[in-house]
Amino acid sequence: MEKTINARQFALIGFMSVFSLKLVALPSLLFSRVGADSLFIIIGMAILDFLSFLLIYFVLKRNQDISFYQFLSKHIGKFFSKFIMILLLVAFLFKMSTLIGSAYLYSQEVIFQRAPFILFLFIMLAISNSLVLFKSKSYARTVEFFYPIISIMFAAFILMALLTAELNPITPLFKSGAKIFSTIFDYSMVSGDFVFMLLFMGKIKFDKNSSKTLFGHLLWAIVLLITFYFVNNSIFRYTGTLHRDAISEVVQFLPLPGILGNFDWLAVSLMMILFSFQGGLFLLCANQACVDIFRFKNMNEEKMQKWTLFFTNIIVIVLMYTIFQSFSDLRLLGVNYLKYLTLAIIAILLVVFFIELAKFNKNDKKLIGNSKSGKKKDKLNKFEVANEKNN
Amino acid sequence: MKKIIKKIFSHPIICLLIMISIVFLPAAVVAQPESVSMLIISALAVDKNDDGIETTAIAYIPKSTQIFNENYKVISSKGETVYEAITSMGVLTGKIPALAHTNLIVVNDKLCEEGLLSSFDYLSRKYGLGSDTIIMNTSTSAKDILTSANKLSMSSGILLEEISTFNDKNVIHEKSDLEGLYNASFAPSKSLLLASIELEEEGLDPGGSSTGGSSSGDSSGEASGGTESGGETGSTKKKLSNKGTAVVLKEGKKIMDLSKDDVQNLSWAKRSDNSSVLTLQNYSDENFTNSTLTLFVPKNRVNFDAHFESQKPILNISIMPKMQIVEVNQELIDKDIYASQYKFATEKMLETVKNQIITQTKSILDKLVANNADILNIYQKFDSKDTRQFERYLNSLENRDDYLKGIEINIDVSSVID
Repeated sequence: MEKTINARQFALIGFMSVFSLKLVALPSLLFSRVGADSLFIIIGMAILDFLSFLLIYFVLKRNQDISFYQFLSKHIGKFFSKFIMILLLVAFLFKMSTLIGSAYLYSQEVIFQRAPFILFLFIMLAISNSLVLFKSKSYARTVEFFYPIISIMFAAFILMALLTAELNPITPLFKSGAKIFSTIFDYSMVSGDFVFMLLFMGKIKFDKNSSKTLFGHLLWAIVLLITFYFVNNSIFRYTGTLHRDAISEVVQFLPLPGILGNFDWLAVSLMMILFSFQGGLFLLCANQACVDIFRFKNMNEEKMQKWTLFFTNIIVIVLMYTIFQSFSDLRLLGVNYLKYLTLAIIAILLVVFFIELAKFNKNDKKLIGNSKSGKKKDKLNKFEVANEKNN
Repeated sequence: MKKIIKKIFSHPIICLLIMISIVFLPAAVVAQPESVSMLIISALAVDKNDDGIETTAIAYIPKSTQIFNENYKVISSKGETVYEAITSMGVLTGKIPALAHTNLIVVNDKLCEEGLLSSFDYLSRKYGLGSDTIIMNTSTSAKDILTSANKLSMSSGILLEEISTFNDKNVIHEKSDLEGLYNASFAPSKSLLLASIELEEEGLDPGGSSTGGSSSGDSSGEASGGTESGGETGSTKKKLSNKGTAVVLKEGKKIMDLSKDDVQNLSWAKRSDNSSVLTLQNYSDENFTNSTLTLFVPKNRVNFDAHFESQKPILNISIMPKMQIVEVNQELIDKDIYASQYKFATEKMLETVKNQIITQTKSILDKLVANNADILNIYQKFDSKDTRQFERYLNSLENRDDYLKGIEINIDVSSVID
């Protein structure tokens, strides 16, 4: 299989995938449930994400030459593989729709209140589609180009907040008790973004330092995210629920930008870049899942991708104009139903991991067996040599 | 030509670009600037009267002129709710009210007494209002305050927004903005301090009509701007009066007024810079004889220690002001009192300062405790320190809201005088 992206580019895509949905409405939604304990929810989500990354990384590293679909077909057959790909397609389509919905609400509030939805949908789909059409290699290179800009902007923004904003103590904590766990489950749809990595299986060129690069970038993303939640909760100690556009509102409360003028553009540009990349990523993954589901023998890969992309676009548009019409619908759908989809994906991940683990154990036994027989042969050889010498 | 068309169609991104240009570019080119259709509100007054809500705004209206002169107008409208009244303003002017640049909201007493949270619901949902939208209270009409403020800014350039920012930073030492209002109301202490601004009658103007914005300042440093009222024969000129008074809100509702002295006394219990002044009357020691000493406090640091002793909540407040002697008034002027090598801060002076600060702080804390007004966020201090024990203490009370009354407050002062 052709290796289109290297480990660093892959790590940067992972870095980008951590944010966007978690920086806009989520802080407010979590705050309304558990107050300042929302910090622990995001820590919990980060731990789960990181664990899922470890499982995925183990599988990816050991299957560098086949795609995820090929891996599944090899071990569980085509029927179940297609079923899993359908689940992933549904998950990514819903994630894409949630992203567009949240991004529209955010942009409407901070950029242009009277912007029609069709205009935003058109822009979002145009960017996401072009990122998909230019394929994963171009996508990865674009991410690589924007990474330093995003990383520095985000880090500068958080540093500025820590140094200048009026931070209130967020203690006492753990007042919500077990509600923390139920909230993690309810809002699990916005986490688990590393699942996208499965669909990149076989395209990544791993090297000696790849694990260091991947771990480093993903941990950096998680640290930035947790610090952002700390800053948000500390600034809006009792009013977190009121601030639906968290990242832009945090900027407004920093005294330094207040003196220099409106610094909203910092958050707006950051979010627009993140929304575009994440939109592109979700569409890329949805499209890949779609290609694997409808794999026709007499159609070449490129043509197939264009048709499936058209198909996924149609589904996204239909979803946006039917069930994703309001913010409340969007939230209720996520909290009431989509969490079960996340459960299903966790189950898939575990299945994949155990398949790989079983394979690993089998190979290990073989290797041990081989090495044992090798030793016997050595002993025999030594015995023969000794006999010859005696004779 | 055929080749070009073929090339274009072979690159979908170029098709997309052409499509975007065809669909959106003409509309974008001919669209009028958004600012023309907007009523940009820089300050808002909300009055609650018997017939509903009246909102008044100082609004910027763009106008083409040869001279550099910003066109600010005072616009007023009524409605059942704040949203309705603000929307009526738009109907009145044919523009959409924009609140992103609103830095000040003045509210009248009646609205404060009935509760700001419910009235301000629309404003709190509005993105852009927050860190720099300060709320001020007035016992007169908020509309009149804005009318005077507009005239004052036209004539002297003094802005009410600047006065309100000054008050927050240097008088009440508290963020009394929209965010502060909600933060304080949703916090367990539920209390907030709001600065007040008043109108004072300047006297009768027999000449009839007045255009406002006359002189600036009097002995108390008040700025003035005129507004007209009265009948045909004469009109009363009113001026803005910023005396450093304030009101205390609990859950968004006004519960008590604080005089200038109360606000000044309360400032000892707050961390502040460049603000307080302490006056020692009839003070005598080896350096001064029967003097009136004015001490300026460039820095005041405060430490709170909340703890429990045999289940009784105790709050120790340590006040550490750094002071400078800025004025000495006494009959006998001796050149030695100007000498920089003298150390004027004697034991007696430090003791007098300490006693005066303790007396002043105690007097305001007693008033606040009597009204259950937790301006110093004492609830959060105990809750953070020992949640369980504080919860036990609250449960032991007949009324949980009376928690301040059972807390023993000790004040200690260690001042430094230069």
